[in-house]
Amino acid sequence: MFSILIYTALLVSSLGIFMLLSKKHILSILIGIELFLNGINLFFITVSKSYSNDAADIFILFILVITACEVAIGLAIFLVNQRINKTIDINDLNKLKDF
Amino acid sequence: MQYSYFLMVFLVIVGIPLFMILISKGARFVINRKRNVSDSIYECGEPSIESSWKQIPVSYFKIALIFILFDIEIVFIFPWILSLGNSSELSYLSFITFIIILFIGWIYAYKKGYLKWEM
Amino acid sequence: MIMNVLTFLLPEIILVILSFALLANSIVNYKRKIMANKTMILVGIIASGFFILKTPEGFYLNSTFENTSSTKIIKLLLIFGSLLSLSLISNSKTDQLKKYLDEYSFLLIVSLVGGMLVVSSREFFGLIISVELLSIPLYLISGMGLDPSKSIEAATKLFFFGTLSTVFLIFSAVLFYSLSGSTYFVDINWALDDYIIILASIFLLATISFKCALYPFHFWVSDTYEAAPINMLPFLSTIPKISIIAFLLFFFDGLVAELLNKKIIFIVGFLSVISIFFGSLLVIKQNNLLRLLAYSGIPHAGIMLIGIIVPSSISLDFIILYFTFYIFANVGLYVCLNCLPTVIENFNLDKLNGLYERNPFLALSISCFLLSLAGAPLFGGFWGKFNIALISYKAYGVFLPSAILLSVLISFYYYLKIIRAIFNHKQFNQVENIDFSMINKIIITICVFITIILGINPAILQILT
Repeated sequence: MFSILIYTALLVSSLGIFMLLSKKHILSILIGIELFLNGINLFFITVSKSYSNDAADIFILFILVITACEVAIGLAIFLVNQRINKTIDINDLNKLKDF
Repeated sequence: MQYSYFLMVFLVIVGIPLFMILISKGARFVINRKRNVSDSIYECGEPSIESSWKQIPVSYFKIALIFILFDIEIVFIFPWILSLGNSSELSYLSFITFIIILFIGWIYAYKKGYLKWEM
Repeated sequence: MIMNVLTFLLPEIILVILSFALLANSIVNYKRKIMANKTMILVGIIASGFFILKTPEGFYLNSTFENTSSTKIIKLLLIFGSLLSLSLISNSKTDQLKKYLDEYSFLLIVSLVGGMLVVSSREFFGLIISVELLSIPLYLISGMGLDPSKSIEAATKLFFFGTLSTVFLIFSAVLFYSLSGSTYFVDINWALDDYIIILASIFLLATISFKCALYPFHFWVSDTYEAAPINMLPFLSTIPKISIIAFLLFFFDGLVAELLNKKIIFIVGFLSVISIFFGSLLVIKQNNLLRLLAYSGIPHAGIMLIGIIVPSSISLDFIILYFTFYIFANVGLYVCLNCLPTVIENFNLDKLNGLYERNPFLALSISCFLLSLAGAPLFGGFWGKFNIALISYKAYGVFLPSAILLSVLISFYYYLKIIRAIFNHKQFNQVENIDFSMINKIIITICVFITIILGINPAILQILT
């Protein structure tokens, strides 16, 4: 039971990482990060239950709240970015360069 | 810990490409497709005149963002209510502090006019 | 119970109340708004610094929070550095900065609270929340620069890197938890002896490298420094770096030597050496002043990491010396740059030409800070780098000191390049209308004084402790 859950968690997080690396749309990258984080959450819950420990039950909530705050701030930044730079493609964010 | 070696292999497989991506800022897995007709807004063969980004009133976005922040408050209220039976004065005090902090945020948003619905 | 909480957490609580007072100040309209802002910041931060001296030492909140004499000193440093940078902000001339003055101060103070909690936290989830509190305001600040299109781009990049690093931190916390069954730092000592522990510490160090801009994870730093408002740079360049590295110091302090020696020390040493070497190489090519200074923070963070992997009973005084000189030299340097007329497009080195002819005091103090950062004798930086090289030689042999020596040599090259531009009197460039107000003078004088005092007699810090 636990091993199935752990494999699922790893699958979810690896999907998140792949999405993070392969997508060009800003929101898709954000969703990739969220997916990675949710895979970690599942892993955390599973490990905590296998120790028969209650730590995960409350810490998951903290992680979720942190994530929600980050998403709110990220969406605000993306909104301003779209209004000023007129782009949602990360390849177009190339004004700042070394040379 | 039976799963540890699997985890190790998995993370090496994941970590090395991630490291390479971060090293070489430009490289990506995705192939750069040309922007052809199928990427256009309506896909009807007719070249579109403008972009689909019309001026949507910013009130939608602002209210949605503020809604996310106040909606997530329930996550903290729920476990507090479940443990209400054996709570001390410290628990009440800290929860009241939490509500006050949220309330200050709400007053800020209200006074700055972010909740006003103007087109 | 309530009084107990108030005694040990009082400095942070005062800062939180101060931040909400600033937020309240921003929504009302009256005549002396800016004056009220300045007064509140001064009173609140000084009160918080005063109560740090009074807080009792020991473990609190189910031993997730620790106050020791060394955390007190580091918190005092953080508070003093951010007081200097905040007084710079409340004196700002730009219209945009004036309009959102209270919001800027609010964000910086929230970030400072996060930094102070990072130093004290002894448990992973407290750490995660404090790191978020430290870094989320910085995403917003970096998006508030003078050139909106550039600065929002920098904010987007910083947001992605910062979020990814937070995810790494959570992942490392969960991995440590899966080994030890507990989220306390101390319980890592009783963890299962598994190779996962290396993996978890790699993820932890990746987060730390993101936040301090160590070598393989340094991409955001130059963009952010170029695009963020110059008023924020004294804060942005010191407080996150110092607090995260101080956290790492206490984190290693709690681990037993055997675990450290076998596994983690090697990774940290490798990280610090490559960031010293490649970071120095990155700086050489730069011509943009802000990007140069941004990249020059990478070798400094590497040297601080070398100081950390030496056993802390020896290295603590020297690391605090290094922190002190780094904070004051950086804050003074950016305050000096802030006096120059605002340059939106390109802050090239030749914009500084002829500064000595126009304003000798500014030119001399900039060169003083740069020499101190480079590590010239008679300035604070020399003793910082020399002591860390010495203790790392005693602990691990000749390899780490030679890396430090190499970085000092290269850093003399690029810092002297700036100084040469300042004293170059052949061509004058736009150094007219230098904004050289009273408060800037005071801050620069304090920073020059502390830098030179530390250079003459570095033992003065030990008297304070």
